Amino acid sequence: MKIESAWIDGYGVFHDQAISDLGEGVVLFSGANEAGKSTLLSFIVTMLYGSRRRAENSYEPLAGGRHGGVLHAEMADGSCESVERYFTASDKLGAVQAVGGMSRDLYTSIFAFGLNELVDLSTLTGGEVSSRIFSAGAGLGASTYAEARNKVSTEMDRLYTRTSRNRPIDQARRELEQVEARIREIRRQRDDYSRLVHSIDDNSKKQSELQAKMDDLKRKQVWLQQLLATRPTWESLVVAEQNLNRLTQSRDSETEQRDALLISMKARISAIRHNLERFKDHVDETSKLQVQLDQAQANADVALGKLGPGWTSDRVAAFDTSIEARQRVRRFREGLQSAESACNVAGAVRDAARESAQAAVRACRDIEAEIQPYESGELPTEEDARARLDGVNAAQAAMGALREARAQSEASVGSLDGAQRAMTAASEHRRQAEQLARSSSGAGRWLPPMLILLVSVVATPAAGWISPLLGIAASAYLWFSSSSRHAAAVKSAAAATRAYQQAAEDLAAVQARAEAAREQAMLAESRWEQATARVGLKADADESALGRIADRARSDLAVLHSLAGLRIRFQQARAEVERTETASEQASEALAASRAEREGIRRAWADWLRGVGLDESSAPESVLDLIDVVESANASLTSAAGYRALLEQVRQKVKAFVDELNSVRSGLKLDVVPDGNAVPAAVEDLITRLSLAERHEDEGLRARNELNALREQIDASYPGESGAKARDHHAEHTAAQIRQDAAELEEALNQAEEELRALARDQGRLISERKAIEGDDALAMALVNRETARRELEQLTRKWVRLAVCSSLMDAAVHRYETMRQPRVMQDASSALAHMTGGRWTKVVARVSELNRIDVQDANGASRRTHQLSYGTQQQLYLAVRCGLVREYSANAEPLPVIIDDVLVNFDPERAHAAARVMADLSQVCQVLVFTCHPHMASHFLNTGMVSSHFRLEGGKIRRVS
Amino acid sequence: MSHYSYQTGVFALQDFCFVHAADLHLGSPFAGVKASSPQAAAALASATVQALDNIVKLCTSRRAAFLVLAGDVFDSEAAGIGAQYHLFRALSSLASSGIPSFVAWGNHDPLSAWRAKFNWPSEVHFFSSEVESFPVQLNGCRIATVSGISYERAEVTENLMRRFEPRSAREFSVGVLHCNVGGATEHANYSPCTVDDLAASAFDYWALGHVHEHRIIRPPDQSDRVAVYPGCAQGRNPRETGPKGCCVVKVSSGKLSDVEFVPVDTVRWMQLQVDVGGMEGLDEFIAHVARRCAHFMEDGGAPSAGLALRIIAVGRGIVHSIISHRGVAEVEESVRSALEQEAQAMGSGWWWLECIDDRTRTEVDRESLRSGASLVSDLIAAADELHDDDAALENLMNSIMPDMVNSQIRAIISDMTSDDLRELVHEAEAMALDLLLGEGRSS
Repeated sequence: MKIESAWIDGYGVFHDQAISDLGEGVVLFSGANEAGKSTLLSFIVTMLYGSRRRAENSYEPLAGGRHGGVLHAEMADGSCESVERYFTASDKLGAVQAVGGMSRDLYTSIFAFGLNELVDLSTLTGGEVSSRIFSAGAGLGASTYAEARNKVSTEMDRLYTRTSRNRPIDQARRELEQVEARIREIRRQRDDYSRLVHSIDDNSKKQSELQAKMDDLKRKQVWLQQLLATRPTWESLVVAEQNLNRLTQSRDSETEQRDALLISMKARISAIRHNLERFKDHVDETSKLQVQLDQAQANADVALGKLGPGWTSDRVAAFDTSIEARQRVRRFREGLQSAESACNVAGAVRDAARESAQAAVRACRDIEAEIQPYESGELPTEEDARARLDGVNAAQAAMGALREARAQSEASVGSLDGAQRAMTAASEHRRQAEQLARSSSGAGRWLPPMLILLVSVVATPAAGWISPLLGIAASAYLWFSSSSRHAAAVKSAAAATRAYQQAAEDLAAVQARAEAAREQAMLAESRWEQATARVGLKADADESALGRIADRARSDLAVLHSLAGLRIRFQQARAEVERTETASEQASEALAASRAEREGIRRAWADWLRGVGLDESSAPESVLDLIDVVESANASLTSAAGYRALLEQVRQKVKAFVDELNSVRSGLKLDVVPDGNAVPAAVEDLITRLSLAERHEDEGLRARNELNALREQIDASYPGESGAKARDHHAEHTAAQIRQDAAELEEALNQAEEELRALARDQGRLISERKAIEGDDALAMALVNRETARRELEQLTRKWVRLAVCSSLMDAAVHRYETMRQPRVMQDASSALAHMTGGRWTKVVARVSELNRIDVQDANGASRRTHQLSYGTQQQLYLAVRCGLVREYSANAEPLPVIIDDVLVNFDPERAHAAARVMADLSQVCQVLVFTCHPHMASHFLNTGMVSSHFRLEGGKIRRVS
Repeated sequence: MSHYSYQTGVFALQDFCFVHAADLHLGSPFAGVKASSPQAAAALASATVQALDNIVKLCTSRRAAFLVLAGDVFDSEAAGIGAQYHLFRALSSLASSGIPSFVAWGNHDPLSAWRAKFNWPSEVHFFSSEVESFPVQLNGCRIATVSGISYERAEVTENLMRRFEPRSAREFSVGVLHCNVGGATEHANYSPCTVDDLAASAFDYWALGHVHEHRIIRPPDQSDRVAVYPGCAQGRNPRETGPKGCCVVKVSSGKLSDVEFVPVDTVRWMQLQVDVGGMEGLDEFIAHVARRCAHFMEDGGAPSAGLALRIIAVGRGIVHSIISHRGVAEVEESVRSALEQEAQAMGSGWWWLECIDDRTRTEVDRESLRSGASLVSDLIAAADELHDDDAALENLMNSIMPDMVNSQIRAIISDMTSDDLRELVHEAEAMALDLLLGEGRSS
């Protein structure tokens, strides 16, 4: 943007002042103090950005006019912008579009500034300006490098430092060490476990040995305790032996033998005593059974009498009277009855069949008699008769066809004559019509009208004008009427021609039909001749001859049909004869079979009767009665045999009892019993003798039993062979000695038990410890924890390393940036500073690593920080930086005019001149407005040769100097 | 089932199955994993032994004829008494059910390692440093022979497979070995052997250990013989993702008929890369992660016990700002809590967020910034130079190292690989850009 002109209506000391044709390059405004330089500078800025506060509108018109004015500018693209502003209290107009996105602060810091702004470092380090110098050029956003770098360092220090003790990495490392220590501790359990296993084995061995010793002591203790327990028994045994010896010595041998014999028979005697009452019962039962036997035998005899001679008890017993036998007889009875009935039915059927066969034979013979007359004569075959009849029919049809063909031929001849006549008439009619048409054409058609017209024309002079009019009308009428006639004649001639052509076509068609009818008649005649020849007639035969031949043929066919019917009936009759004869034979065979079956049953009945020993002529009913009688006899005989057997058994028992009694008495050398009456007394005697012997025996037995029981009692306490050993021990030791031994053993056993309990306690503890180790998953858990701690430490360490790498990367990037890639701003600033300082300071460096710091370097790379520079050099540096900023901005946006207000006052003349040169160079990029109150400063700019226009401010007036 | 009536010592052809597991690493921790809570620590500590319990249950439920453990049952370091006792109880339990066990020791638990003393049942067999063979009987008939060898020391570079003598073709033979077939580079090359060695040995089934991924190796021209790595039974770091387990090997008519992989892990790892670009906030981030987890579970991707999740957050956007301002740890805690609640709501076991690997970046056009002529472009250029210059990186680390007086921390830095350092450079650059351009990372 370049300010072309401006008009101040009223602003400060200015009223109705104009500046125009400012031109390219440097525009110089010079004037003494209070001439209005700052006012004009303010006017330009305010015209561009408007007023922010009422206070800023302090440049109220002092010389009149409205507060405001107009400013015209030319943009880089050649367009023009005009700003007209009049300031009021309510003025809210913002920046003009021409300033683009540049803020007022940035503009007044970089583009429009005085000495105060130049020396204020904060105008470069604040907000937008600093971001352009320190961050925007570095490609950063809102955050600065220093903040980012600080965050990295802070985070690294938060995690770990060389001297830290409780930072997260230190804690993680300690946690890992603790877990590893715990694992080492757990691993030492292996040694403990091995020692435990060894101790358990040793302990187990000791327990086994001690247990064996205790078992031995316990066995001895049990032995002694048993000896003590069996001591009274042993002492009783000694007494019992003495008693038995005494009893044995008190009895003689004869008594002992007798008593022994009696005792040996004790079972038999006891049985005799026990059976005595039963013996008595048997004696009574014998008489009762004899009476019952007699009664049953009498009943059997009566039944045998009913059966008659030949029936013995054996036969009766052997005769089958079972239910099956009765059922068999009944089946024979029913079979015989059934067979007889079947024979009767079969006989009746056979007789009926025979009668049917005889009737069929008779019918057959009757039909045969009817056929006989036909077969005696000569008959044509049916085929011959039918051929003749067909021939007659064909001949009659040929005759009809011949007649019709002849009629058609005659009719076609008539039609041909008619057609020829019609043809001749049509030809004549056409000729006349054509002649009429020709006559209606030619001169006759047009000559009369023409003549009348000519006459009327000729007569015009005489008749006046009416004559030609009449002539024209008359000739026109004649012309139209002759033309109509000619057209009708031509039309009639055409119709006559079409009628002639139609007649010619009809004649040709009739001729064709006549020819066809003639050929048809010839064909029919030929067929007639063939048909008459087929039935043996000549071509001149008539219809009556054909009728006779047809009648004869029909008669032969009727006879042949009758004969065929008879033959069918004959065949049917023959079939009936064969069927009835077959039925008759089958009925005869059925009768014979029934008779054979009946005979078979009769023979079986006779065989059965013979088998059971009965008369073969016996009827089934009589046999059933006989079975009832035999059954009754058999029951009586069976009862008698039963009674007889029982009686014998009882008698045998009585005898056996007496024999046993006598046998016992004989064995004891006592008297035998002669009869049954003495039996009770003899039995009582035996019992008395036995009781006495038993009493003697019991006394000796009790003594022996007592002795044996005592021995067994002692032996029961000593399994195996040790019973004898115990008795020997008793015999060899006194009771006091045994008690003493037992007491000593008890003490040793208690001591061993105590030792064993101690070992068991130890073993339990050891096993418990071993099981605790075996079931302990502490190692697995510790290993998991170690992995967790390792992972944690690795992650934290990795995080720290990542931060370190990040830090390193940022440092490397900064170094690269600061040394190799200063922003364009700084490059331009370096160039400007080098010019201003005459090469003393060649480089301006913006430190991205340290906020708000701008250093300078000389040609040798020696740096100096801002505050280390002289006041004037600082201002030259800041002016150089602004030049760089202006160039950077102008390269990317609309170049705005730079306005400087006496900023070179602190420069020495040489540097002031150089600075003016730098600003003049800057005017090639953008318009530079220079305000100064110092003539030598104006000279510096004028000496550059770049001042396009020079205005003098004086007394509220702006005057163009050049 | 074809069955011969043999007397003792004669092989019988019965159908049976056995279980093959390896690399249980009982009691060992989850490497590089930070337990965020006591519950997480307990789950991680017990995961390997719970996997063993699952193997025991599998043996019982499948009525396995025997169990084979092919080395690295323990970590030498982690073979605590508790872990050893757990193995004792597990194998004793199988023995009481009539299921014998055959255990070979590998490089992590060689014979030279310390062992607690237990009264092992006679059904539990440990292979020595020489090849040993044990017959296996089922229903009184001999069904197979199991041969194996253990590492005497940790580092075995000999091809132990060549010590095995070829087996009779009549018996179903199982070879048990901890080895590296084909020189898998992701595992130490202990007992190196080749597929040709497998083919020459003529074992019907090679029960291998050492490789933590399930693999089936078929020697050429031997369709009915295989060598199998069941993989580790429990993934123990976030890189060991997916199902881990053991193999149920089925033998029919004396021939191998099927090898079925059965997961037994209780905590399954999933690494989830989430692009935060376009996300409106942390809620959307959490919902996205929860949705992915739910899909993973619906697809049968994890056991009911637990899903361990590591999120790799990438991209640029609002979520990056949230992480920058709140810090990763706080965001992790929020996401972790939300996922646990989500899992509870779905009745889907335990979802545990291990960590968020924050690789999100500021919303900047790096290339555009780099092409400028500013401090930022100088910073990016410096980062690029550092990233590409190993010597500069080393110098940088050497310059950092003196600040670290503790040896453990120095070791952590020393252990960082060049790739780690380069990634750090990227992260440091992002951090610097955040700070310089206004993200203002607070932690």
